[in-house]
Amino acid sequence: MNENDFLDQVKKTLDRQAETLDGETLSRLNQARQSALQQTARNSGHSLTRTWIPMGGVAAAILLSSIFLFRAEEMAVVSDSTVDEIDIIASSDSLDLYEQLDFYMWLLEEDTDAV
Amino acid sequence: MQHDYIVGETGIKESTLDKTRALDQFLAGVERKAFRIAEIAIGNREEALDIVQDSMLGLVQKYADRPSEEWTPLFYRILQSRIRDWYRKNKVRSRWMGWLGFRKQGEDQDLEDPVEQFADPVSREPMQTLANENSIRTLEGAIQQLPIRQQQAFMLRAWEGLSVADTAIAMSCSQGSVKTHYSRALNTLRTELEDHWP
Repeated sequence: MNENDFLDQVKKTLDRQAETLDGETLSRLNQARQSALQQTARNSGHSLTRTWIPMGGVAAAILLSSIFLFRAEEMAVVSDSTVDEIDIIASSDSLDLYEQLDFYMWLLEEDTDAV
Repeated sequence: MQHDYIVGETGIKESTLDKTRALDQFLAGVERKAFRIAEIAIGNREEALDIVQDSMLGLVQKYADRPSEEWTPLFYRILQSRIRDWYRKNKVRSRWMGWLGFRKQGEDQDLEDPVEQFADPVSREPMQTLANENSIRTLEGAIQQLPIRQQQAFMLRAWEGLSVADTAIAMSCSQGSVKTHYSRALNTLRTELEDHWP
């Protein structure tokens, strides 16, 4: 028997055995296949989740960035008055001057009227 | 906007159905050979069924999204990996059982299976049936005697008809190794079976 005939004989013998598997084995193989295929549906559910989670993440990042930028403008406005206050505190003038500013303003007006 | 979403969802469902159908066809096409390869390799029907089920699950979980042309070598790669795992576990278990002084299950069960004593209900020529069964048992016995790597290379190349490249993927080795294992297996089997298959 040459090599090709030998291999042909091997293949036919193995095929014959595989084709005549008993009913219980075939049933178990079918169950195994169905059980594996159910996993496909679960996987596709996961792939949907995998799609939506990054999209949600991007949306959340955009929202947070917008809020941050909006708040930054507000903070910039607030910071103008804060700078004024810091100037007053840091200046070498006495704080009494600022506390009695109305009196000094009145005195100035009186002097101006007198002139 | 809502319509687009529904169309998109239907598209996903349809593609999932297509993929499921394709996987079903593929697995139905390979399951018998896979089972026989596992059964011959490990000599146990129940564990062979478990190995095939694990391999099917492995393919679906890891490689379902790969092109269907790649499924065959990938499926057999998982199957061969599971068979090798079984050999490793069995080796460790045998060592422990031997060390603890237990005998392997089945060593005392040399009695014939009563189911085998019943006549085959399918009417076949007795001599033809005997010749077929002898032929299968002789071949199975000879294949089981091969080292596991030679056995894998021979079954994948000669029976499943995988190319050298695909067999190398399935066996996680080089194409050169596949050729060597296959050639040795073929020589051994021809020598062993030449008296039975003149």
